[in-house]
Amino acid sequence: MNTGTFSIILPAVILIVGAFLVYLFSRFFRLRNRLIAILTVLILTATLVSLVMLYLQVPEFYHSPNNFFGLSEPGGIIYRPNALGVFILIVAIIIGIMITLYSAEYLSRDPRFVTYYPLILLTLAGLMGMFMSTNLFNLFLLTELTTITASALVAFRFQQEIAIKAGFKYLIMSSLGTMTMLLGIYFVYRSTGSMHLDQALAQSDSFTRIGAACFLLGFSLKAGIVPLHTWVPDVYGHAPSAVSGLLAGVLSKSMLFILPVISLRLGMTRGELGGYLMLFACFNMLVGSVRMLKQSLYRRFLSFSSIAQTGYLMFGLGMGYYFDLDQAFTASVFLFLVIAVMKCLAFLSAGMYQFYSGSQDIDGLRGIGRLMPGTAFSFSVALGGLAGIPLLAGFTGKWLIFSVALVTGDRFAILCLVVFMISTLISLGGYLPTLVKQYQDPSPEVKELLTRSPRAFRVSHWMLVPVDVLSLLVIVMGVYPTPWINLAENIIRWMLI
Amino acid sequence: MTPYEILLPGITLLPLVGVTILLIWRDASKRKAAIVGIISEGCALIIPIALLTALRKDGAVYFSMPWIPNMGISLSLELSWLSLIFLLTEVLVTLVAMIYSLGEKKGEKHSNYYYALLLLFSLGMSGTTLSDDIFLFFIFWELMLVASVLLIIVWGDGEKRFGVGLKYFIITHVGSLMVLVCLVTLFVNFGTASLSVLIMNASTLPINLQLFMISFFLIGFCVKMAIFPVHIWLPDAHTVAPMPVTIILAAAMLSMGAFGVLRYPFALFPLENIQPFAIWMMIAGLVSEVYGALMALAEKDIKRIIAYSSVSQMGYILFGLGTLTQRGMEGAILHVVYHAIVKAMLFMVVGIIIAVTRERHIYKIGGLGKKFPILCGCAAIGILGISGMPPLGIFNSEWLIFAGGFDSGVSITLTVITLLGSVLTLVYGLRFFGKIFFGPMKPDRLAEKSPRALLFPTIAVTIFLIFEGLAPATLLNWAMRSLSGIIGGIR
Amino acid sequence: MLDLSYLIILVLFCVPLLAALLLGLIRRCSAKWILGFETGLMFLGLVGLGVLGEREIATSLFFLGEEITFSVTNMPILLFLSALTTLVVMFWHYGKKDPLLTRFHSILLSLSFSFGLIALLSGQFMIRYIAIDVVGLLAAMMVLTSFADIFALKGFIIIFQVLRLGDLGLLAAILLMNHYTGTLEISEMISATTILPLNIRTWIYFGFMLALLIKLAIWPFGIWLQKAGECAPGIPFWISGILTPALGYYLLYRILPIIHSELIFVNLTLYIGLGLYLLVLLVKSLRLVRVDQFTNMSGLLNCFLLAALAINQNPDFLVFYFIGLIFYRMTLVLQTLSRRLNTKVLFALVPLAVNGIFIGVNFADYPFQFSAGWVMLTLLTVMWDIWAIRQGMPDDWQPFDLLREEPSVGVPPDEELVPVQQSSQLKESGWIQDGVYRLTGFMGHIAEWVYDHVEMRLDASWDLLGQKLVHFSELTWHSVEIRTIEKTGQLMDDALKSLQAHERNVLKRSLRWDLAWIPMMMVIILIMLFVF
Repeated sequence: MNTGTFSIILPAVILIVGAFLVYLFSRFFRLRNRLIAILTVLILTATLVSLVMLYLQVPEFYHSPNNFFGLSEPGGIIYRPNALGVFILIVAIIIGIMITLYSAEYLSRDPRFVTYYPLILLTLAGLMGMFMSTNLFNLFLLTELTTITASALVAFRFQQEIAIKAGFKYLIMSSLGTMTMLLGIYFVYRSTGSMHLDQALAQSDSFTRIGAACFLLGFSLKAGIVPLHTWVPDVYGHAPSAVSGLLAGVLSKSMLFILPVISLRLGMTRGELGGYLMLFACFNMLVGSVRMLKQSLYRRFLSFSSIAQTGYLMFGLGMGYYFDLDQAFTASVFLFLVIAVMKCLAFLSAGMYQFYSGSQDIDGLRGIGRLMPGTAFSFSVALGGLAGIPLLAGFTGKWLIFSVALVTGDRFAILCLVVFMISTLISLGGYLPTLVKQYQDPSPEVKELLTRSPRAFRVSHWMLVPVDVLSLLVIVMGVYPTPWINLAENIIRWMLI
Repeated sequence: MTPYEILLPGITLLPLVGVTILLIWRDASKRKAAIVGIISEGCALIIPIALLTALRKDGAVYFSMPWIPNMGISLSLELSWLSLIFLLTEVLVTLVAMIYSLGEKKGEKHSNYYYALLLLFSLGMSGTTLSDDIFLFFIFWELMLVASVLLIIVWGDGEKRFGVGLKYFIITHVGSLMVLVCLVTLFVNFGTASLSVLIMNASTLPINLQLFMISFFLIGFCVKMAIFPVHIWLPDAHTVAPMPVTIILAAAMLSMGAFGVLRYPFALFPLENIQPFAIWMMIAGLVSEVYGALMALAEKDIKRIIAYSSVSQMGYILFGLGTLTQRGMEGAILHVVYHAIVKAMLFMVVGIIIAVTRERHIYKIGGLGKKFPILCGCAAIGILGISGMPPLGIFNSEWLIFAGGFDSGVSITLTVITLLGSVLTLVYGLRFFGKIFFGPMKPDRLAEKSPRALLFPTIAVTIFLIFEGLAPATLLNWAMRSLSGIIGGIR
Repeated sequence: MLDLSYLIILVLFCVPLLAALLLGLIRRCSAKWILGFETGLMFLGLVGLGVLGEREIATSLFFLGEEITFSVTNMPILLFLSALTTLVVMFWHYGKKDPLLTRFHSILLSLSFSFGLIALLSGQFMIRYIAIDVVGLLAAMMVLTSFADIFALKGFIIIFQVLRLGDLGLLAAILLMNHYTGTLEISEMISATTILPLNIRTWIYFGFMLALLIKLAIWPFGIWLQKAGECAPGIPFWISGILTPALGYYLLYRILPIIHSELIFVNLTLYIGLGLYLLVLLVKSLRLVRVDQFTNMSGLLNCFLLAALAINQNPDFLVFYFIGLIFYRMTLVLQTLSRRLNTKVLFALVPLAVNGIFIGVNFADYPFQFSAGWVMLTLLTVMWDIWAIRQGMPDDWQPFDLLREEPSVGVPPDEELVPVQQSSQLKESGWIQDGVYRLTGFMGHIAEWVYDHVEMRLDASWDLLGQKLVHFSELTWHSVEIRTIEKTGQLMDDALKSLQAHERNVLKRSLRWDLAWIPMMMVIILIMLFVF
C-alpha cells in the first residue's frame, strides 16, 4: 500500500465532491441559477489553486520516484501527474470558469440549470483522471465518464429535437470509440497480463500494437479527426454555446495529447504516430476549411473551423513525433493554449448573438454590429485570431508551426505545410465574410430588432466579463507572446512522455 | 543610448498616441478628429527630419528592445536612407490625404475611428519601412492591410464595398503569405529575426534555396505592387475606397511592394543570384506598363482610369528594379516618390471633379476647363507629369529607369519597347484630360465653384511636384546612398 | 568668375520666362510690346554671343547628377537668328491686321524663345532633350484656343503625341549612346559613338531617324504639321512651322558624324530621302490644298536635305542651306496665310535658288550625274510649286474650314487638269505636248486613286489608330478584366453551391454512414501499423 502524494489527487477530489455538493445544495436550498454558478466558480477556483500548486511541484516530481498516488502493487491504480497534463488541466479549468460565469446569464431561460453545473464539474473531473491515470481500465472508465456527462450536456436543451439528436449522435459515436478502446484493453491484457501502461511498454508485441491501434481509433474519434469528424458539426452546432466552447476549446483538442502517450506506451513507434498525425492533419485542414465556406449556421461554421484547427494542432504534434523536435512540441502546446482561448471566445460570442437575436443564421449576422458592438468586437477578435491576422494570438501560433515545418526541411513536412497554407487561405474566405457581415447593412431580422430597440442592446455583464477577458487574452498573447512561449518551453522540458 | 535612438521609436509611437486619443475621444467632431490625426502624423514627419543629421553622420539610426527573446525576436527599428525616402513619402501622402479629407463628405460618422484607422494605416507603412526585424516587419505589413481593408469596408462607396474589401484582403494576403514563407525560412535557417544579421549571413544559404526565396519574395511583393496578372484587386479597391484612402493606397501603399523588393531579396542575396530573374522582372514590368495603360484607355469611370494608371506606373518601377543596375534602381526609387506625388494629385483632381459634377462616367463630364481653370491647370500638370514631360518629376525617374535598362545589357529591344510604350501613357492621359475639360459643358447641373478645402491641398501638391521635378538633387543623393548598401559602388 | 557669354545665355533664358509670367499674371501689359522687346533682346543677345565667339561653357549646375553645359557655336546662333527674322517678317507682314495672336499664344511664344535657345545651345544631351520636348509641347499647345473647340483639341492631341513619339526615339538613342560612351556631352558622345559596334549604331541611327523624320515633318510623318497649320494659322504657327524644324536641322547637323561613320547609313539616308520624295511627288502632286502644300513642299525640301547631307563631305557649309530653308518655309507660311501678296510665284523660285547656290558651290564635291539629277529634281519641284500656287486659290477660302471645303477644289478630271489658256497652247504644240498631257492625265488618275485610297486614309489614320487602340483595349478590358472576373466568380459560386447542396445532404444523412467510418478507419490504422 503506497498512497504517495495526496496533492496529486486533490483537484479531482475537489471536483467530484464539489459536483455532488453543488447538486445537493441547489436541490435542497432551491438556489437560483446565478448562485449555483458562483458556487461552481468557487469550486473551480479551488481546483485551479490546487492544480497550480501541483504544477509548481512538478519539477520536484520529475526527480523523485515517489511521484504518484495509488497502489504500486499489481492490479493497483496509479495516478501520476506530468507537466503537460497539469498544464492542459489548468487551461481546461480556466475555460471552465469562464463558461460557468457565462452560463450564469446564458442559462437564465433554461429550466434545468440544476444539473448543468455538476455535469460540467464531472466532465472536468473525468478529463483530469484521464491525464493522470496509468491504468488502461481506469482510463477507459474515466473516458466513459467524460463522454456520458458531455453528451448529457450536449443534449441539455431537451426541448429541441436537434439538440437531442446531436447528443444521441455524440453518445453513440463516442461510445463506439470507447468500445474500441475496451477491445484494445482486451488485446493488451491478453498479451501482457496486465493493464498497466508501464508494463505494456516493457513487453510490447503485435497484440499490444493492435491494442494501440484501438486506442488510437478511440481517441481519434473523440478528437474529431477526419473522417471520424462527422459528429463535430452537429454537436458543436447544437449544444449550448458554453458547452461547445468547452468541448471545442479544450476537451476534444486535449485528446490529441493523451493519444500519443497511450499509443507510444503500447508499442507504436514515434515515426508511425507522427506520420499518422501529419497525414490526417492534412485531411483535417482541408476538410475543415473547405466545408467552412458555405455554412448557413454560424455555430456550424465555427465547428468546421474547429476541425481545421485540430488539423493545425495535429500537424504540430505530428512533426514533433516524426522528427523528434522539441520545438514542435513547444509550438503545439502554445497553439493548444491559443486555440482553446480563441475557440472558446468564438463560441461564447456566437452564443451571445444567439441569445439576444434568437437567430442562428449566418445571414442573420448582417448588421448585428450595430446592435451589439461589444460582442461584434470580440467575435471579430476571435475570427481574426483564427484567421491568423498578426498581433492576434493565432498568428504567433501559426508562425511557430510554420517555422518548425521549415526547420525540418523534410519533403513530407513541406508537403503538409503547403496543405496548411492552402487551408489557411481557403479558410480566410470563410472567416472574413463572416467577420464583415457583422458590419454590413442590417438583414431583415436585425432591422426588425433595430426598430424595436434603436439603441444597442444592454448585454449582461455575466456574459460580457468572460468574453472580454478572453478577447484581452487573445490580444495579449498576440502582442506579447514571450511568457506564454516560455511556459510552453518549460512544460516540454519537464514532460514525461 | 543616444537621444537619436530614443527619438526613433517616436515615429511609430506618436501616431499610436494619436490613435489612443481618438479611440477614447468618442464624440469628437470630424474637424477635431482630423486635427488630432494631422498633429500626430506631423510629429511623425518631424522626427525623421530631425534625425537627418544623425543619418548623415552614421548612415543609419538603430533602436532595439527585446520582445520575444526566446525566439530571437526583438522590437528593433532602423532608419536608413532607403527607409527615409519611403517613410517621408508615405507620411507626407498621409498628411495630404488627411488635410484633403477635411473637404470631403465622407467620414462624418464615427470620425474618430476614421482618423484612427488612417493613422494606423500610416503607422503600418512607417513600421514596414523602419522595422529591422522580420517578425515586426510582417506585423506592420499586415497592419497596413487590415487597416486599409477596414477603411474600405466601413467607409467605402456602395454595397459592393464588402466584396471588394474581401477580394483585396485575400489576394494581397496570398502575396503576404508568400513573403511569410520566405521570412520564416530565413528565421529558421539562422535562428534570428534580426534583419541586419540576416543580411550579413543570407548569402551563405544553398543556391537553390536562395533562388526559391527570391522568386517567392518577388511574386509576393509584386502582388502588393499590383503587377499585371495579380493586379485585379487594385482597380476595385481604389474605386470603392473613400478618396483619402485611395490617395494613400495608390500613392504610398503600392510602393511598399517596391520597398519590400529592395529591402528583402535585393539586400539579402548577392545580385548575381537575382540576375536570372532580371529579364522576367523587366518583362513583367513592360507587360504591366502596356496593359495598365490600355486598360486606362478602355475604362469609363474616371477614378478607375487613374487607378489603372497605377498598374502602368508600377510596371516602370518593376522594370527599373529588374535592371539591377545603379541607375535603374535609383530611377525606381525616384519613380516611387514622383509617382506618389503625381498620383496623389491626380486622385485629388478626380475627387474635385466628382465633387463638382457628381458624376464618374467620363462621357457624362465635359467642358469643365472654362469654368474651373485652376483645376484644369492642376490636371494638365498632373497628366503631363505622369506622361513624363521633362520639367516635371517623372521624366527624371524615367530617364534613369531607361538608362538603367540599357545599362543592364539584358536586351536593348526590351528597353526600347518599354520606352516607346510610354507614349501610351500620353494617349490615355490626354483622353482623360480632353474629355473632361474640353468640348460642350456637361453635365447640366454643376457646382458654382470647386470646393476650396479640396482645391488648396491640390494646388500645394502641384507646386511641390514642380519644385521636386526641378530640383531632384537631394532626392537623387538619398537614393544613391540608400543603394550603397545593396550594390555597393557599381556604376 | 562669370563668363560674359554665360551671362547672356542666362539673361536670354530668363527674360522670356519672366515675360511669360508677367503676361500670365498681369492683364494690363501689352503682349505686342513685350514680344517685340523680347525679340529685340534675343537679336541683340544672339549677335553678342556670336561676336564673343565659339566656346564651351561649364556651369557648375547639376541635374540628375550630370553637369549642365552650354556650347556656343555659330551654327545654332545663325539658325535661331534667321528663325527670329522670319518671325519679324511675319509680324511686319500682318501689320495692323489681326495676327490671330492671343495672350495665351504670346505666353507660349515667349516660353518657346527660352526653351528654343536652350535646345540649340545646350552642350549636354539631356538638357537639350528636355528643351526639345518642351518646345514640342508648346507647339502642340499653340493650337488650343478655346475649351469648346474639339477640333483644336484633336489637333493638340495628334501633334503632341506624334512629336512625343519622335522625342522618345531621340531619348532611346541618347540613352543608348550614354550607356556605351558614359557621357552626355554632345560632341564627346557623338565622336565616341562613331566607333561603336555596328548593331548598336543601327539602333542609335534608327532612333535619331525617327526623331528627325517627325521633327522635320516629312511626309507621312509630317501629319502633325498639317494639323498645326489647320488649327493654328497665323503667327502662332511659327513654333511648329519654323522653330521645331530649325531644332531638327541642328540635330541633324550634330549627328552627321554618326551617319557618315558607315557607308550603309549614308546610303540608307539617301534612299529614305529620295524614296520619300518620289512618294510625295506621286501622291501629293496633283491634289494640293494650301496647308498641304506647305507641309508638302517643305517636306520635299527636307527630303532633299536628308539626301544632300548623306553625301556632303563638308557639313559646315550647310548652315546657309539651312537658313535658306528656313526662309523658304517662311515664304510658304506667308503664301498660305495671306491673300495680299500677288508675287507668290516668285517664292517658288526660292528652292531653285537655294539648291542652285548649294550645288553651285559644292559642284566639285559631287559626281556629275548626282549634280544633274539634283538640278532636275529641283526644277521639277519648282514647277510643281508654281503650278500648285496658280491652281489652288479659291476665293472663298477660310482658314478653319480647309478640309471640309477642299475636295471640290482638288484635282479635276482630264480637261480641267490644266488651265484653259494653257490647254489650248498644248493642243497647238503637237504630239509631244499631247503625249505629256495624256501622261499627266494618266498620272492624275493614279494620283486620284492613291489620294482616295492612301492619303485620305493616312490622314485619318491617326484617328483610326487611336480608335483601334481604344477598341483593342476595350476588347481586352472586356475579355480579360471583366469576363475573367465574372467567370472566376461564377466558378467559385458553382463550387460553393455544390458545397451547399452537399451540406444539405449531410444534414439529412442517417447515422449509419457516420458509423461506417469507424471500422474503415480501424482497417486503415491497422494497415498503417502492420503493412508499412
